Amino acid sequence: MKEHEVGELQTINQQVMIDLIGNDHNEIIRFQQQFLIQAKQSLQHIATFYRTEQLAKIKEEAHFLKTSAKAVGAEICAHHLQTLEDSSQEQDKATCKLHIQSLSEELKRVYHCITPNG
Amino acid sequence: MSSLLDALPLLEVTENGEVCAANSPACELLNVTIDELLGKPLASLFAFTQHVSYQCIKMNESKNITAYFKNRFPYTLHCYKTKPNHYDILITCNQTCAITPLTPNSSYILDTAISCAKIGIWRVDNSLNNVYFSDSFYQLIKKSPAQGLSWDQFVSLIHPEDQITLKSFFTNSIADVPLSLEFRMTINGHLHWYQLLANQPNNYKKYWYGTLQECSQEKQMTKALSEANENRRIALEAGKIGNWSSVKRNGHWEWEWDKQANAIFQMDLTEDSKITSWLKNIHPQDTSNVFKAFRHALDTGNEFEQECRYIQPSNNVIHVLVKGLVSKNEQRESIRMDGVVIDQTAAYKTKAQLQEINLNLEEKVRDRTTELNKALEHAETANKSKSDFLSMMSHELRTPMNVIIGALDLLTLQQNSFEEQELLDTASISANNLVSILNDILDITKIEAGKLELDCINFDFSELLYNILVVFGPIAHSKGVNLSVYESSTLPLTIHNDDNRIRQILFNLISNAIKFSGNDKTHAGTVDISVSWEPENEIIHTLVISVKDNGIGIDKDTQKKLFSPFTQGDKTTTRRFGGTGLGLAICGRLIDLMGGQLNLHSELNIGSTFTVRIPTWQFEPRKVDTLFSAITLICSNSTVPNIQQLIKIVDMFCNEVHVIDWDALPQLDKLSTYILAVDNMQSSLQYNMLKTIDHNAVVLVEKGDITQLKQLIKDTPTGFLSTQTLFSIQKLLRRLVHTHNDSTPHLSATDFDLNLVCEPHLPNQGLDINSQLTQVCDDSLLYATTDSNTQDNPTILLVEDNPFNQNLMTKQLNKLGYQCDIAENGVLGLKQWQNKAYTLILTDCHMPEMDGYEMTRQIREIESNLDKPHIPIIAVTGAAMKGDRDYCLSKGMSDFISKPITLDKFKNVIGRWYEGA
Repeated sequence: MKEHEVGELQTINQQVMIDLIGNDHNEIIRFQQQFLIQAKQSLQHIATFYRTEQLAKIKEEAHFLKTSAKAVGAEICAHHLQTLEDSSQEQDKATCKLHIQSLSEELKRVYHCITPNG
Repeated sequence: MSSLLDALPLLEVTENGEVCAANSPACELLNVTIDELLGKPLASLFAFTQHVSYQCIKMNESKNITAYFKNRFPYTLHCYKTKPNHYDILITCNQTCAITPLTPNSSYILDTAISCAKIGIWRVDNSLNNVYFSDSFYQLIKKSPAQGLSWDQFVSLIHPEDQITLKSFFTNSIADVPLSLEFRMTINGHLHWYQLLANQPNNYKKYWYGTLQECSQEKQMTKALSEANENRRIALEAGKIGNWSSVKRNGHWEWEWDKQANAIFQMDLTEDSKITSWLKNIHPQDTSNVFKAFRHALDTGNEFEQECRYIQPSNNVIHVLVKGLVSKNEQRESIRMDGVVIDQTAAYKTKAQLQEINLNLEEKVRDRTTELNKALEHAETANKSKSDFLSMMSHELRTPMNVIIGALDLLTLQQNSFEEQELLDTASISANNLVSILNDILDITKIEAGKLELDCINFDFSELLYNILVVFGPIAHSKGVNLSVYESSTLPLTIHNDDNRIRQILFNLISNAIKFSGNDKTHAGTVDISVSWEPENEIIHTLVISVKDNGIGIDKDTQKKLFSPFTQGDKTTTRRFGGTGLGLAICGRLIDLMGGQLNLHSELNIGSTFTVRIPTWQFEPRKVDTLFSAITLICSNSTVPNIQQLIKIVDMFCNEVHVIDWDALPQLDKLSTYILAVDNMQSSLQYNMLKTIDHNAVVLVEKGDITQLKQLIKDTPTGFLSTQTLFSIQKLLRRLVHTHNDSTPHLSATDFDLNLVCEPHLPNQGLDINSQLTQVCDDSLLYATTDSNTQDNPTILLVEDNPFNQNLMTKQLNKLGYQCDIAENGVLGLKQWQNKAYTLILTDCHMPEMDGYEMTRQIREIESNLDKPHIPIIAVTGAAMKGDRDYCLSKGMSDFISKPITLDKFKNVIGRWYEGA
């Protein structure tokens, strides 16, 4: 993904889910909630893998979550997961840390975006 | 003086010798009455020892004569002639002197000796009037001497045939030649033989003197001996056995044989040297042996026995057995040999004929065996050809049939008029039935060829049963048949067996039960399935499944042949219910393969119960899985079997189960969880209660149409009460947990806070985390995907490890009108593809266990080996790098599509490959 395109990415691109399953609001919310549950668990795993320096597993977990993020339109999340995947593949622990922190922050934004009262 | 005369025994005799008077003393002395004396000739009363005649006595003279009264008692008769023509006789008894002589004289000794020798003495004069029988004579003929006996009386006692001989006994005599006669006499019912000897002294021809001896024993012995001889003769003659003997005389052996032996040898008996002639006629090949055997017997004294061929003078060759025993003298020298010769020609001929017959029979048996082997070979070849043909035809037919079914399914997805849809449904059902029959034919062919092998895995039997009930529930409902299941709570979580074959068996039994169950105006059809788990010993448990219906039943004769291929109850059954008759035959053989049993109990017009017993060695016990601390079951009647079964199962997953009547609960509490057993949808109470459900209840319907219920309570787990299993109840309760969690995720922004402070490296921690991850995913997100796993007729296989993507793509496929099965990795994907005919595979590329590339490689390899057409495999991956598509295609995949996939993109790609398949 080109650098100038990063700025165009959205925390939640609602159109993505509409393209995927149609304009079924309840169903979309349901998928978004499922994504959050999955993201919470994946983030915990990634953090653990980081602490235990299992960078290869960070790559796998990031790839695992990335497809879900793309599906719910969590474009920035997906971007962070892709960069995390790349840096973990390169065994660059310092960069991994930065991307994990960015991912954490972005997931909070996704949470607020999806959960109106959140 | 006169008194003296009165005291003396006196007789008065006339001149012609008759007694004319007798006094009492005479009668007393002779021990007779006067009538026995008067008028009787004196000679008939007394036997005189010498020829005397008192008639020569002159007047006033006397003479003493010794005589025997009744031939027995000796008296002295003192004869006086006192009157003309009259004689007076004084009788004096001299018996004392005769019986007890003081000094034995020669006469006494002779009498005693004769008596001891049991020889009777007799004498009779030529007129046969004057007769004397000795005491021993009387004893021999069992008469008392006191009785006395005349000659005629004696003659009358003997056998009538011998009387004639006796009567001519004396008349035909030759002078000076002693007479001898044997005669019979029956005494006290027993036949006695006697020998009578008689002679007349040369100097006195007036009397016959003789003896009598009993010769019964001699006669019997002679008779027995004669009979024995005759029997022996007949036996020897009948047995063609001749006697021979050889006696050593003057250093030479002289040979003799009897008539029967010569009948065998047919030799000229006038020849001097019989043995030389005999040996000359022995068959040349046997002569040496016979001669040696003879010599050996004579030298050693051993028994002689030799079989040989003998050439009769008529050149007829006979087979004889010659046997002999050697006798020795005191010096242990062989002095004679006695033996037999047996003509065994007939036996030899029979034996030869038997041998010939045996040889002929053996040859015939060999020929027949060869023919049968050829016939068997032909039959086996024909059978194999038939099986191969059936197998090939079935396979070849099945492939285009699947295409037809697929095409019909696609047509069904279009907008069709009611009539068109009806026709499509009919065609689809018929096509599926035909494929089912083809599958059965393939199976029975494989089984009979011994090629069918079980493919065992660990699986949840309860899940398998539920999936079957999902299929048969609507069918039973449409027929008005009540289908119920009763599972034991001890059923293990998994058992190790061939799940596909067990499914096939249950499909068959349940299908038959529903098909044949009674369902008329008088009583509803019922099919009860019960499953139990019985321990046989510490190692083996038995899974017992019984399927009971109240259908038409099966008579005893049909039961015997029911498990043979192509056999149904009768032709009427085939006409009425259809089917090929292969199902039970396949079931029986499959259960045999599993080492189990299939038993049938059936009564005509009552129903049938099929019981399957499958031994199981490997299984995993069910673990405690507490999903709720408490749950409330609302029902109308908690005592009915279905509710009791439900309570038993729910109790396995909840700490407490409260059972409450519908009437007792005015409103559902949203903070509680419920199971509602609906038995009457028309009840306003139940209807209103159902309207208040809010993600906190499972609804189970006793019977009826569930569509109306689903419209009322969207997104609430529902099912039929009577067909719930351990698996389905657990699944419904888990879904209830999940739904509850989904509705209240309890997430907050802080859930995404991080702790990246490095910890000491724990090598195994990663594994644990993975396990936790899997566990979490299973618990939270897998349910929706599991729903997809139970689609009725999925033709797409989705291989994807991410539960989120599983849900998403399943939803997308459903929206596009497709249904899919889900596999979580390449290993499971490969297995599911092998077990089921899919039209299309959608696969992720990166997965644990086995990735999509490897799965594709293995599928393509199997397809090539089996010469099967390639199934379209579409890679669905998050990677979107340049070259990924080429890489996927190079690995054998048919197409490539990157995530996320929009509906349009999905529709285009799947449509292209699905329709092209």
